[in-house]
Amino acid sequence: MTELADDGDDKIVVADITKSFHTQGGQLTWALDGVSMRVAAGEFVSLLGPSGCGKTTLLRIIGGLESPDSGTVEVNGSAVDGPGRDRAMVFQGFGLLPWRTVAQNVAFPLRIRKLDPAEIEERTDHYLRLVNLDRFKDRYPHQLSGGMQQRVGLARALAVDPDVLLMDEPFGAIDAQQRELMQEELLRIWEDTAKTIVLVTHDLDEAVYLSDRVVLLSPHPGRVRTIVDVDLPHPRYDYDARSHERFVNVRREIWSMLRKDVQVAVERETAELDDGVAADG
Amino acid sequence: MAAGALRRVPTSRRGTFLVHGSIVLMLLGGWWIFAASVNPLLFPTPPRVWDAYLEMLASGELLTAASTTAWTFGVSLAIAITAGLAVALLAARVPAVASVTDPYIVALYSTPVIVMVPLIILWIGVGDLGRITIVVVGAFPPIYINAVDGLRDARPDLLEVAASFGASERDLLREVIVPGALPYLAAGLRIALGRALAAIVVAEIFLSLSGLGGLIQSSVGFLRIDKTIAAALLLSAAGTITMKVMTRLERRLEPWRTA
Repeated sequence: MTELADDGDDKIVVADITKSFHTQGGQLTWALDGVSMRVAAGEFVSLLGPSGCGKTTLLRIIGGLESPDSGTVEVNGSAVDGPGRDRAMVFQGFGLLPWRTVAQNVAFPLRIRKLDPAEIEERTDHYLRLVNLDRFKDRYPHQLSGGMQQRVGLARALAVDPDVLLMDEPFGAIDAQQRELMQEELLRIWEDTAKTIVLVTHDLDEAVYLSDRVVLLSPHPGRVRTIVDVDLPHPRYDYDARSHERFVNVRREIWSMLRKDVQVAVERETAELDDGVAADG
Repeated sequence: MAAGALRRVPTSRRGTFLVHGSIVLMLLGGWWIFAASVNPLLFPTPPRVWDAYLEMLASGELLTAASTTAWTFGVSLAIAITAGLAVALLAARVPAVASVTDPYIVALYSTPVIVMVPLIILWIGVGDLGRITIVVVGAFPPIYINAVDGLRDARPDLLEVAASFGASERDLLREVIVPGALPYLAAGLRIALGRALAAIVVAEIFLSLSGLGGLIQSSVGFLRIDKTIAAALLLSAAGTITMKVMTRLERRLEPWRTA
């Protein structure tokens, strides 16, 4: 039995993924180099790391929006070769259609899938209620706050009833106070719906607060540095999880590793800027 | 009190109406005073123009001319819009088509329509077809150019969102690309309307005299300047109304932008 044999409980199996890009300067960079991981059914996993660690690329590969140079991704035991009905994505920039109302945005993927209108309406109403936006269903996105817009994005992803929810820094563009509410809301929804969630973030606290496991990636080349079990009792919004001893310890443990990578990443970016200045001069 | 009234003017409909009303009255007054002091044959007074208007209305001359112009306008614009959008869709989908057609269409856009009049007379003739050709040549390029810009300018993030939900090419076009291009299409149409109106007058004056343009030109020949001015004012009113209708249409088509 190989290391990556399916043990029946894995929702997502990522096996030995590599992915390279050409930078604008024509250099080859390894966004991902031999990345493997598994996500169990119903699990909440965060991908955490400094910029350049390939966390978003990995998420997009799982989502089928990009394909790896080598390696495979399996969801529900079948190989991913494009977007599929078993997965739905939530985007940092929300990705709402400005010319559609809130309800029409939630209904968008259902329209594409040609569900019958009665069912579309029923599902749209249901998920808008779930994210507390039923009162705003006839508004246009630009009339809503960032937090509300992302709740539309979340409802839209949930409306297709995917097994796996893939979230790319979903709360990155939302102000700090709303973000905490959104995180609570997400945990609530996760517990109600039993989805498998993979979330990309560069926010350490967010990763620890939300996840069962944190996959820490390191940059240049993008590799899995370590995987940390958070092991905090659920539901975490029922107590002050952020002050829990376990939270503090896990946070410290991850930060001690993340810190160096962040420093290296910052130095690297500074050096690139200097090179740019030298080249321009 | 005067200051207060002034401050309120721009905000109320009645205020705007008053401002424009007084401007029109002043223009009419100035015209009248000036016309009364020169040869009335060359420069008729407002009442004479009004009489000419009523006379042409009674004889049916005005209605015939206006409907000819409106017919040419409508047919040509329909052709220009259909062709402009069709070629634009093709060009946006197949970049090779655009790279071949674009330079010529841009050249067409930059050439004044009147330059092409002799050739169009020579090749197509002075009838309906010639007139329609001139208006289409005037209105097609802005519609095409703006439509291509709009179709190409689809937001990549929205295309990606749609792709992540398994959208087909048709879905992308209907849900993302075309709605995103609507402001461009409206801008193109707006320019096209103005150019079509200019082109139609050129066509009606320089091909066979017909429609309101023909009426303007022939009235000058008969020294009926009152009729000329009446017809010209009608044309300008029609242009203004067309633009207003266009604005309304935009608001209806794009409720998310004004809401």
